[in-house]
Amino acid sequence: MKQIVTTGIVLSRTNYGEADRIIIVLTADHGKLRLMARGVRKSQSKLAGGIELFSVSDITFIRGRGEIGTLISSRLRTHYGQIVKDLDRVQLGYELIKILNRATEDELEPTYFELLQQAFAALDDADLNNKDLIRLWFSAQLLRLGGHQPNLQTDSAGHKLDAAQKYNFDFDSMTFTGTATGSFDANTIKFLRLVFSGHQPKVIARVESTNSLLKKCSPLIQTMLQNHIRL
Amino acid sequence: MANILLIEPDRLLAETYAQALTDAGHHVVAASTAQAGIQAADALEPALVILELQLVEHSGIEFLYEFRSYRDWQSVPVLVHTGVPPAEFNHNLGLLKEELGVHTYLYKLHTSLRELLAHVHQAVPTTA
Amino acid sequence: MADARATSPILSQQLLLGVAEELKLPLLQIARQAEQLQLDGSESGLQTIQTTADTALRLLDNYVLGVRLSLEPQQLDIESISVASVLYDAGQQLGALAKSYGVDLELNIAGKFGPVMAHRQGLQAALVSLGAALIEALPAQGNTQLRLQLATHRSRYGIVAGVYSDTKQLTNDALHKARQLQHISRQPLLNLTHTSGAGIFVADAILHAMNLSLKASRHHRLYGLGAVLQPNYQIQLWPTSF
Repeated sequence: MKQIVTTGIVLSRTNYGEADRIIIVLTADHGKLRLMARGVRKSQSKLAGGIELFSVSDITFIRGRGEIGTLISSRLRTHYGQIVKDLDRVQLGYELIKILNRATEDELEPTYFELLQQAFAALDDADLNNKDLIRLWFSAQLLRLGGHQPNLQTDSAGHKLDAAQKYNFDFDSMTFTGTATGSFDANTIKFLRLVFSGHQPKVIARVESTNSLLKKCSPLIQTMLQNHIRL
Repeated sequence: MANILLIEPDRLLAETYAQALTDAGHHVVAASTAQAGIQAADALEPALVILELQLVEHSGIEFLYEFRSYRDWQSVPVLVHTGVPPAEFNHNLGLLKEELGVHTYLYKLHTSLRELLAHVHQAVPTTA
Repeated sequence: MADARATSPILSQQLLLGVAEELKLPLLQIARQAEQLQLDGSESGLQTIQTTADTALRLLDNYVLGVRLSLEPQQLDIESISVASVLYDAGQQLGALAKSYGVDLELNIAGKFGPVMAHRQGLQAALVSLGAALIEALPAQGNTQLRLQLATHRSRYGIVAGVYSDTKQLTNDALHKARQLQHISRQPLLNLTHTSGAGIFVADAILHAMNLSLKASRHHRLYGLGAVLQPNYQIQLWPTSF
């Protein structure tokens, strides 16, 4: 049977029988895979060079007849070592992996792999000490990749958003509605545009008053996520 | 008497803790890294693991991730005994308990040998 | 002359933060060793406690020197010194600590090196600080070979005096990155040590205050960190005979 080589990130591991494991791997070009890792023996366990937490590995596998393939070998490519030095980062890392695993089916665009890899890179960046921003950015990208990006250009009446106007957000139509007593102003909407754009968290972190903008935008994006993505 | 795996990177502290545990009647194997910890656990089949989180290269979190992936190690009590500030592990109790199965977490600088031994005794009561 | 970084109050605060972090370990060791002595009633651990306390005191001295040098670099007493004698004295200071960690300490000053221009006390403090950090780190790496060599050699940068061991190579890039991560990350040198690496950063600050640089370096097959020194050319110009 043909061996396939790809790059992947482990999303979960489940024991199967005495010495086997089923691992779910998010790959760069084969979507989400379920692979059997056979005969996983403790004496051969290698923390460096195998399948590790918060790592990207080169994986060789064989497709199975059913849903589960067989893992032949793996080799560590990138280990985001700074994440595990900080419990807050580990917590968020686990959370992002879980969210992605629940939110996605098996056939995936490579962009989901890239998203998780970028999230790990952001978490690994000790200079970027803003976990709320990383969480917000990740949620926004999930919405965008799932085709659930809010309308940040025109309001519910189809008019261009006005810098002098205040708005509330309508979750059904995923648009802003102008009202004098609205909770969202031009600054917040500009911030949302940046968050939903292709920019990395490190770039977004340079925005002035990031933390107060985060406080405003987090409940909004979390509600969008709950409404539109099955978690 | 219980088999205890002590994962402690500082040699002097490891000797002191190992001595105290041995004097209390346990059989102790010490390892200084996460990798050595897995290999020692394979040889020892510990009844309890005492674990520092701050290790060289791979952390105690990574040790636990690997350790808990083996079926027969999933219910071995793990006592985290660490220099990581308590505020940080208090913020992450969910992670430590639910994901990594940590039984108890102690801040090393505030935990005397007597207190450590008391926690060990709670985790692995020895029979007379 | 030392630049703004060496004289900045922020650097002194960084050094003091480094002191606080680094001193937790020997004080914790002393506290638990003393408690263990009470529990088992023996006195065999007293020597270890004394060594640990002496190490802590020496660390404090080095850090105070580092702060003074960074605050008042104009007070530096630069003199022509023998690198070999500085390494020898550093080795003497590190001997007891190396013994308690089970690390074999060696001195390798083969070859003739002329005098260098440096602040003797500062250079020695930096080497002791580096040496202590590596002595603590080696067993924590899971190395079977616990050997630390104080050595000097010529390089294209100048004369390098440093501490070396049979460990994974630390690159200058990793050292540079670690300097940026200092006080942001709990373990800026996570492949080298389980600690904050404050001893290395203190050595770095002391050397910087003396207009010297700390570099990742290699000595034969051993890797480590070294201070780059400039030979005292003036003396070498003197004719050997009239």
